Parts: sequence; C-alpha cells; structure tokens
Amino acid sequence: MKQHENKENNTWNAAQASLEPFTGNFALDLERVRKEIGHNSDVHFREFQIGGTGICAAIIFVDGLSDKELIDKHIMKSLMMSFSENHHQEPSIVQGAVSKEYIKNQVLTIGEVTEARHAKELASKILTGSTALLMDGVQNALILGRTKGKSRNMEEPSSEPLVRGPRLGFTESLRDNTALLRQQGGNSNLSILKFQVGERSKKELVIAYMKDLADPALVEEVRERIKKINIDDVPESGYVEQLIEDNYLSPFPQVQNTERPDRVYSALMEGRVAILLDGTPFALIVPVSLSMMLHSPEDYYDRWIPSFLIRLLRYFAAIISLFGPSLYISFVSFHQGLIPTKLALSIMGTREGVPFPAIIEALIMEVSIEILREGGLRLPRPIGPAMGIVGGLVIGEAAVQAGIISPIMVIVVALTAISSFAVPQYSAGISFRMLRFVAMFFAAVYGLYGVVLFFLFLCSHLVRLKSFGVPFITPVVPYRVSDWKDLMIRMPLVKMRRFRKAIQKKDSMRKG
Amino acid sequence: MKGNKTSMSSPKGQITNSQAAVILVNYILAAGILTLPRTSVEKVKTPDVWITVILGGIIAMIIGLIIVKLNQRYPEKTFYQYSQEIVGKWIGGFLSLLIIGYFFTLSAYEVRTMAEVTGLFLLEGTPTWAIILPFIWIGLYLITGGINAIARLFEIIFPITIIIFLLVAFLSLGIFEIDNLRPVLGLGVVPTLKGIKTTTLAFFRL
Repeated sequence: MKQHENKENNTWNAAQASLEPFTGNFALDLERVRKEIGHNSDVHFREFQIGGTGICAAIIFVDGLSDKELIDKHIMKSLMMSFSENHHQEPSIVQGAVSKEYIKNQVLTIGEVTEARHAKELASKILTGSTALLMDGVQNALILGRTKGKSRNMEEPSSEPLVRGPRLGFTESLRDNTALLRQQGGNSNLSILKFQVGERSKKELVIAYMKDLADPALVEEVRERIKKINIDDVPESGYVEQLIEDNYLSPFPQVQNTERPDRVYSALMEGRVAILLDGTPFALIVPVSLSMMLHSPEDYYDRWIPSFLIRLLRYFAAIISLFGPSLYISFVSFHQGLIPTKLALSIMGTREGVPFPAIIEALIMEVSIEILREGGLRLPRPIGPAMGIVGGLVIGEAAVQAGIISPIMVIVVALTAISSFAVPQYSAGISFRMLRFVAMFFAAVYGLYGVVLFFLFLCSHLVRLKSFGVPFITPVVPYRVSDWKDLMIRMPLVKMRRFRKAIQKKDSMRKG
Repeated sequence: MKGNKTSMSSPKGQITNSQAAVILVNYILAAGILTLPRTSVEKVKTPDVWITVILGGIIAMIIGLIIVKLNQRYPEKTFYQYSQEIVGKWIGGFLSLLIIGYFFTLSAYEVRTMAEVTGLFLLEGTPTWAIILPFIWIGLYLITGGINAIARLFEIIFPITIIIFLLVAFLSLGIFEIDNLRPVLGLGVVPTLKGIKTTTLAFFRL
C-alpha cells in the first residue's frame, strides 16, 4: 500500500487526484477515496462482495452521522442476501459485471440516490452524513440516503412563551423545521428554496414564502442578499441577520427572529419571507416593521377585547420604557414648575439629602438594573430568582436608606424595567433599553426640550429606516388607515380581513 | 443605507397626495400662528381682525391654486425649471434666487422663533445657540434622508400638532366671548385691508 501511495504521489499531486473522475476500477477508486478521507477515524470502509457474484463493492460512511438502519437493512441486505436469490439472471451480472442502473432501479430499496463523480465530491457527501457505495465496474459512486442528524425533541419555545397558542417550537434540525412549517397548513403555495451559505463550512439555508402572496421583487431581493453572504462559517441565524440587514448602524433590529412556527407561518400569510438556517431554532422574518416588534401571536388567539387592551398596554409600556427616566429627570432637574405643587414638594422632600443630580442618580440605578438583568440571565436557573431578590430588593432598599438614591427614583427605575419586559420581542426590548440611556442624556442636558429633540431624532431615524425596501414604520406612515385596524388597536377578526398592503400586493382579501 | 442597497425602494423625491397635504398643513401651523394674533391686531387696530384673517386665508388659497395649476401644467418639473420656461432664463433665474432666499431667511426666522419660545418657557438661561444647534443637527440628519423621510416625519408629527392645537383652542373656550367680535366693520373696510399683508404672509409661507 505504501508503494502504491508513493506511485500515486509521483503520478498526480493529491489535489488533482481527488478531482479526477472515478475510473470504474474498484481498487483504484477505493484507494483514492481512502487517500481523501481515510485518515479520519470515524469514517468506516466496509468491503464486501455482491451476493454470490464475486463482484467487489464497498460502502463508506461516517459512524454516528449516517443512518445505521439504512445501511444494515437496505444496502447490505439487498446487496448481499436478496441479491443472490433473484438477480442472477440479469445479463450484465452473468457477464461478471454489474450495471449502475440495474442496482439503482431494481436492487436498492432507498428513496434518495444520487451520484458522485470524483473523490472530492464523494468525500463531502460522506462527511455530511450520506452513505457512499462503490462497486467494481461502475464508474460513479452512488450516494445513498442522507444524514439522520442528531436533533432534540421539539419543545415549547423558551424565548417566546405564550399562555394560549401552540406549544411547538423549532429545533436545530432544518428538516424538522421545514416540516413543521408545511404542517402548519396544507398550503400548496408554500415554496421552500434551498441555498448554501458559508465559504468553508457549508450550511444549508432555506427561504420560505407563499408563492401567491409574497411580492416577487421581495423574494428576489432576499435571494440576492443571501447570495452575497460571504463568510467562512455561519453558526447561527444571527450571522445571516447581520449580513442581510439594511442598516447596521441602526439600534433597531430590521429582521425579526422567532422560534415559533405559528408566528413564521402567519408572517408568510402576510406575504413576508422567512429564512431558516440549519442548526438553529431561530427563524428570521423579513421585512419587519416597528409595530411587529410590539405584537404577539397571542393578540390574535385571544378574543379581541382583551387583546385590544393588552396591546394598548404594551405600547404604553414601550413608551414608558423609552421615556420614563428621561421625563423624570427633566421634570425634576429643569421644570419643577410643571409638576403640581404638592407633588413637587413631596418629590423635593424625598430628594433632600441625596447628594447627586437626578441624572447621576438615574444612571446609578439604571446601570445596576442592567447589570442585575445581565447577571441573572447567565446564572444557572435555580439561582436566578435568588439573585433577583438580592439585587432588586436589597440593593434598592439599602440605597434608599443610605440616602444615595431617592425612593421616587427607585419607583421610576423599577417601573421602567418592568415596562421593558412587556416588549414581546427580546431584540426590540434591547433597542428600547439602549435608547433609554440616550434619552436620559438628552434630558439631562436640555430637559423637556431635550426629550422632544430626542423624539424628533428618533423619528427622523425611523422614517429613514427600511427593512428590505419596506419603510420600518409601516403602516403608521405613510398613512394607510385600513391597516391601522391592526396596529395599536386590534379590531375584531371579522372586521379585519385585509392584509398589510405594503408587503403584499397580489391578493388583498384574506380568503375566509 | 449601509451595505445593502435596496432595488425595490420607491424612487427618491416622490410623495403621495396625502403626504403633500400633511406637509402643507404642518407648514401653516408653524410658529407664525403663534404671533399672528398680535401682529395682525397691531396693524388693524379694530376688532375686525377675524375678517382680515379670513381674507388672508382666501388670498393664500388663490395663490395656492395658482401654484397647483402651474404644477399641473408642468408635471415632472420643479419651480426652478418651469419659471425659466415661462419668463425666460434671466428673470426666471432671478425668481428662483428670490425663492431660495425667501426660504433661507424664513427657515432662519422659524428656528430663531422656536429657540426664543423654548428659551422663554422651558430653558431660561440657556444660550440661544445651544438650543438651535442640536435642532439644526437633527434637521440635517433628517434631510439627508430625502423628501420621503421628511414627508413621513411630518405624518408622524401631524396628529400630535392637531391634538395640541385643538387642545389649546378648546382650553380657551372659557374666555371665549362672541360679543368681542363687534362692532363689525365699525371703522370701515380700510383698516381690515391694512392687515391683509400680515395675515396672508402668515398663511402663505410657501
């Protein structure tokens, strides 16, 4: 074997050899494959003879990645046992060879069969979990089956829990996820296109959309941007998100991520496009608007009156979480005259003895709350609540008693923190949290005028921002009154039969 | 737009009819409306200011109509382009310069008014430049987004302005006295006409 290897090295260099088409000479081809991937300890070569004919064959697979049952029951059994009984009359076998078509069409009881023309192609297929079959006299190798893949059971999505709604969440297996999507409704218009991303380690990525609802230009745009992704490795859909978003300087996420198949499906039914990556339970939805960040699927599952009120509450909470501390700062340090006198007196009374200006006070509390949140997030689950109690109660109480912080500040900060939890999209909640600090600085410098300036600044940014060509604040502006039925308010379903126009152009009435 | 250019975004510089209307309304509801009562009364000096305001509004509308007609006659063209076509290159150019100068000074005036009002009510002691500067920066950031961004921002602000405007109007309902309008034309028509220039200009900030 050593000698053989040397000879080969002299003849071709290794890279060329791996790209050279298979010859059909079993020993030579097998040797090439061995050279390509034989050094891996988890790659198994199983040589055997096709039942009773003496024709040499080998299957090559990665232990653990390939489907053991497929190898044992369908490949080995049909080639070694069933073969000897039935197939000896076949003319090519009688001549001492075997034809690829015959094996493919009459022997192997397997659904997915493709071919590989050279060792390199074969190696990449094997290493991604397929099983290869090499036979003497057959030029190309057959690639059988696909990876069984390791996946976990489907569980309730932990990042987006609902009181009412489906409990099923995406998993890390792309096949399972696309199957989940198909399973949402027997809709023949659901199209799922496959892409490969990653320059060095290839990952499968699919985009899903409704053929009859999605704007073709949008689908084309998504394809273009995905094709432009040029990165070594894509471990999570967050990479894809960052590489296809419109404006990487914006504090707002321009792509929505979700673990919920029902959420993805309803987005598809609005004419949006979903992007699913292998190896992550987080699917991406484009285009998105700001209002989507404040909506929850549950808004539609509950009756309209509670959903309507809860949604209003959520918008209110978002406004508090954005402007709460900054309004407090501006009133306390600039415009005491605008507060009713009694309230002003009591606020000033509690602030007596606090050595810091309101902005410093607010910063201390806000930063410590952010640290608490970040700390609690990474802790092992049983310790989390304990940490919350220690941090929230003890530090807050002690800070007030020590006279560093005024009690009203603690109320404001606590209210703000709770409000920011009411934003259903985690990534959008982070945007609000970040912007809150900016608002606080504006308020500290310019008071109420600063808050107004910040609001104008924020709006100026929002009106410029686009998500895949769709303005980010659709449908607030440009005015689209028919879509306001599902914006801050949520009308009864019977009154809400139209799609959002910005996304979907072909079919404006929901069939129902 | 950083990185990913969109091919499907609407062409720059096109706004819808409702956006144009919103911009106009916001424009009229500018700081001029705050000073309008005082300046016009100073000119007219009779209780007939309300007639002056109505007349001024009508004149502004007529002029607005002329502008609309002109724009319909020369679609896809800006004022600067068709003014040169109508009155010739030199006079048209001069008119364009006048318009530019008018808007330039007007913006400066508006910003200054805003700063004075803010300084008076909210930020006593803050130097005027410190109030104006961040405002202009934000304006600069906004206009780099093009006319579409401006129109959309106006659409966001429009409901807020209307609500505040109505609120202010209805808050003064308590001191509203219809008798104050009399006598109608007590001193003749002449004083009414004196104030027309002021009121028209207050509306007509185009």
